[in-house]
Amino acid sequence: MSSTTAPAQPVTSRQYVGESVPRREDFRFLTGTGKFTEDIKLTGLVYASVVRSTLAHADIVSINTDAARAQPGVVAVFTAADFGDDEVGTIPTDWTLPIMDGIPARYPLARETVKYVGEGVAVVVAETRAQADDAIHFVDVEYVERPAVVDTEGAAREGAPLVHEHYERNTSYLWHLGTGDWEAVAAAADHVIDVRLVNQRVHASSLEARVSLADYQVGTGTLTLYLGTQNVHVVRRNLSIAIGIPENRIRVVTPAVGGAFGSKLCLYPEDVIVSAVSRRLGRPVRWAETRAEHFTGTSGGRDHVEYVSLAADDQGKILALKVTTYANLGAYVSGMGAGIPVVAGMVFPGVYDIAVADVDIHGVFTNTSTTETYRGAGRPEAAYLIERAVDELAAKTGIDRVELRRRNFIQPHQFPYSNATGMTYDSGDYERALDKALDMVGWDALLAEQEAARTQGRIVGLGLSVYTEFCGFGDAFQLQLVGFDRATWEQSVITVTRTGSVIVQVGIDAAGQGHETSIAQIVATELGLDIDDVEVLQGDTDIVHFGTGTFNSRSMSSAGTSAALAARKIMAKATRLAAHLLDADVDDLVYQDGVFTVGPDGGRQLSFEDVAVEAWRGVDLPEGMEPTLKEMAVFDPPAFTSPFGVHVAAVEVDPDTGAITIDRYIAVDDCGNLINPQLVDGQIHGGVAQGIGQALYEGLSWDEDGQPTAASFMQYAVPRAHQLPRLETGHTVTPSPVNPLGVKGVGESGAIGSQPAVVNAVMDAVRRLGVDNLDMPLTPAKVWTALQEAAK
Amino acid sequence: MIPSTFAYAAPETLHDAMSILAANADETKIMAGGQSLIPLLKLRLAGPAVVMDISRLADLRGIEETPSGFRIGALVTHERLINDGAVTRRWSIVEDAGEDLADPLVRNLGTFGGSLAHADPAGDWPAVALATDVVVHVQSLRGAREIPIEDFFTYLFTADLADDEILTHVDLPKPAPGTVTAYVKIAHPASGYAVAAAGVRLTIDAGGTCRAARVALTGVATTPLRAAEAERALEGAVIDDAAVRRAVECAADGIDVMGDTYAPVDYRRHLIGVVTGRAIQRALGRRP
Ligand SMILES: Cc1cc2nc3c(=O)[nH]c(=O)nc-3n(C[C@H](O)[C@H](O)[C@H](O)COP(=O)(O)OP(=O)(O)OC[C@H]3O[C@@H](n4cnc5c(N)ncnc54)[C@H](O)[C@@H]3O)c2cc1C
Repeated sequence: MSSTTAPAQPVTSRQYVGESVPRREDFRFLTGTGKFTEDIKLTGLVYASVVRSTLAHADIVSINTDAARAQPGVVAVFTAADFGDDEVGTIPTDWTLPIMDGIPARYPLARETVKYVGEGVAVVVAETRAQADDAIHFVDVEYVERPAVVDTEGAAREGAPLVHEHYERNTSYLWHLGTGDWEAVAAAADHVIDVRLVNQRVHASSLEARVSLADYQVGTGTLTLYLGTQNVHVVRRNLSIAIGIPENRIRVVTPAVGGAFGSKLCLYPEDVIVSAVSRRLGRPVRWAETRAEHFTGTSGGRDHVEYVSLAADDQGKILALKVTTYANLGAYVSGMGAGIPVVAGMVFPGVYDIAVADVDIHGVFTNTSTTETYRGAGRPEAAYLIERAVDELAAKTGIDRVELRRRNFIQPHQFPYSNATGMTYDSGDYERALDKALDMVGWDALLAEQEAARTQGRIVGLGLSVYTEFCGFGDAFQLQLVGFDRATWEQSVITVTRTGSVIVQVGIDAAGQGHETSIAQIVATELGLDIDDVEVLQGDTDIVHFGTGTFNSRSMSSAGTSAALAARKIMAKATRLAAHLLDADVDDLVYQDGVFTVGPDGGRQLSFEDVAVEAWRGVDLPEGMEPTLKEMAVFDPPAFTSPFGVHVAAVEVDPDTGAITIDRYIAVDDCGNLINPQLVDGQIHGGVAQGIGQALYEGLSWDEDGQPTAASFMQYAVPRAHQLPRLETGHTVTPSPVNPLGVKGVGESGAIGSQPAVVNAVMDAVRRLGVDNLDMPLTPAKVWTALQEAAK
Repeated sequence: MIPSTFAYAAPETLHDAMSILAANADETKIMAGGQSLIPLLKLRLAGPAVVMDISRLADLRGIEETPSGFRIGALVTHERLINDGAVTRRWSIVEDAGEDLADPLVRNLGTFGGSLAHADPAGDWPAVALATDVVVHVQSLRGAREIPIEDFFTYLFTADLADDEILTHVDLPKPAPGTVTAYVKIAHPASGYAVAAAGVRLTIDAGGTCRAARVALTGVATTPLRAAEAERALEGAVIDDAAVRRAVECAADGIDVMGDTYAPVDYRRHLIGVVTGRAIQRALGRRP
């Protein structure tokens, strides 16, 4: 930022920040005119279809592709053996914990062994999609089956079948977090509770599955890869490493993306396959995932088994926390997959001031597909763990659960607060959010209502969760110590054209969040311009040369901030130039409605556009000023932000069927300052839907042989509108002190607060009937069976 | 996914359609609304050489009132049927089943005849058909047959329908005086199909005695079927709470109940009682 001038202040008429500006993306998505990867038509396009392992663990004896090659339209068939190491290498990851003994090599097509059902073993390329799909059935793979292990906790046991033989165990790492002496504190405590919780495997289930289209240009030796991804730059980097084309000759483009939720954050095998095949054939190659492939091949989330204990004194003050987690990594390490369980561990203490923590996290390999970031990535697991445990403590001590929470909250004056597992929270005011939520739901009245309902034999319950989490991946140094291998900064470039329109290039990649709107709001506000004059570009490495991507609810705090900072640089330069042109002092300029005026009475004037023209002409500039209005700003967050909130659910259980109805749902979230309240609520709605999905409906599992039990939406239940309650949202605003916009992030909050609120409500309903634990998803059969058993 | 290659035929007359089938019955699949067939083709669970679209066959369309009841053409869509006032005034069960049957898109395309022919063990119309004693009419170049619905469903996705036969229509009788009906379904949260559903028809005389009872179930076994024990408990009984309770308690007796991850056998067996009881209560609530 120029140090010689203070930027002029934009005026209120152009104050878009904080307004529910309609999402400019809506038109294209609602009218079907958005362009997705499958909409891209290239001349000479061929289609790839992948032959996949039908076994969970097996040695490949032979692969016969002759019959497939002879099928109509087939252009080529490739197996791993067809590619040298220099042509197709292993897939890099972005997070290897320093204590891990490396990561197992993962080739895009399996070499000697397959390690999960759905792993690719060959690829068929044909002139049409149908021909490719037909021909894969003619590839004959001979296997010798090996014992498989799919159970997260079982895989960690001595003697379990090994997923990777060159490791002596399936436990890839044991990471310890915490401070203090749990044993001593627990021994002296008045109360100790123990719970075992399962946070099951769930699947992001985006409407658009993955699609990858590679276009290698023989003439230039350059590769363009189109795909739906949350981060074109990490894809470019990792693809470059995997196929040996330098980064400056790879272009990665993400057109419109039909949902990502963390599942489109890493480089996938198929991305490498189509790239390598396109280079071989000199033709563009597209692979589009089927829904069945999506369920078996695209990374899922969660899949933790957790043992949690709390020690408390007789007043309910929580003295110490102990957790042992078994986290399923899947058969390989995917992208950031190894780090997620540790992310969970860092926020296990939640919103409570707990001095002692003793946390062991076992990252475990199994013969299942990989796990990765999924909306919340670690924080939902943590919130679920601590909030269920706190309700158990309330039940055990007889202390009211609201009161118990109040007694243990970290207080506003304690921020920035470092918890016992090594995470620093930027700011928070939990009582305020709690009071607001209780008020919105009418907590006391509802309690009384439910008490009355119980006397009529109805099974009703009320539950709450208070969560905090961490967003906006900050503190690069600390993250690199734990092996995080992505950047934490974000960059924005702003260019003002000759006609005064503004182009903003940001290094994030939206998948439906509305960033084109919210970033434009920020920049238009900073520049005092009409929002329609601001265009936001993203998702193409040839347009935006660097970026870190959209994940960890970081887009506003990082890209939003860098865009604001770049806009301030523009404003500073424009002001200096305007002063020069008007022959005035910078301090004498007033900037209002896109017009620079000298003095308060508005004698001489220049519009922003006039200034842009002069910057472009470059013939009448102040001493030393370069032509053009183009600035770049990089913002590297000094620390994480900590959104928080309170969710409340009121439920009823049908005693005949065990089916659960959510009668009320209240979400009070604090994401700091709100750039666009409507988009914020939209994020909460979607996140809560996914959280309720996990609580009540969703779950991916494998049978003993490692066969997935769900491979379509016929079995895997994602909640539809009629399966969700009306969501009542509210906000408190506690600005983040770690970025100039004061934003915290909101993309994941809904998925974090919701599962514990819903399950706590159900537990509140059934605990009094003798049910002491239930694991998600709370299917009717599970609930009914538990009620039957409790009644015995 | 997309289907593998097939030839497409769209005959204009029933005779042409039957001729196509006669020529190549085992390689040809009839397509009515396509709402079950197309998913099977896409998943490649079916791969016929020829798909014969029967949607142009006028003889298979329409609902006609007859002296004894209704003639419902095989091509009558779900949406058409559940909005037919003449039918639903007499048979509330049809309207009930429509409430929860798939979604508007499927209801606008899927057909009543296709539903019966498909013999989905969790299909809704099969249970309604069993509860209402419809008669199924099928035809081929070899001739025409009439099949009472209780003999029609033979196994998982299998009906008494030869490869060359076309289901042309069903006869739905008029209900006897004093008849009330209802349908209650517990839907799978993902597929929307019945985890358990019951269609009930009770004919109750002025004295409160049940003269005829049908309890038809779907979603619970290899075929849609009648709960014989529940019917026995109801027929001849004065319909009071105790009689309903008895019917509920024995509804699953003698049925080889299927289990799966979502609804294990014991739970589904229990649900048979639940849906039976609820359907009876719903029907009784309609007594004048
Ligand atoms: C998303 C979705 C949800 C659904 N939910 C439900 C639900 O909740 N409940 C429910 O009951 N159904 C449900 N269905 C199935 C739907 O009702 C189908 O429409 C119905 O089962 C089949 O009717 P169709 O006309 O579509 O038959 P098609 O799909 O065209 O044919 C099905 C089968 O019947 C045969 N066939 C069709 N017509 C004839 C005929 N006249 N003579 C001989 N053979 C014939 C075909 O050869 C084929 O084998 C659902 C379908 C979808 C796609």
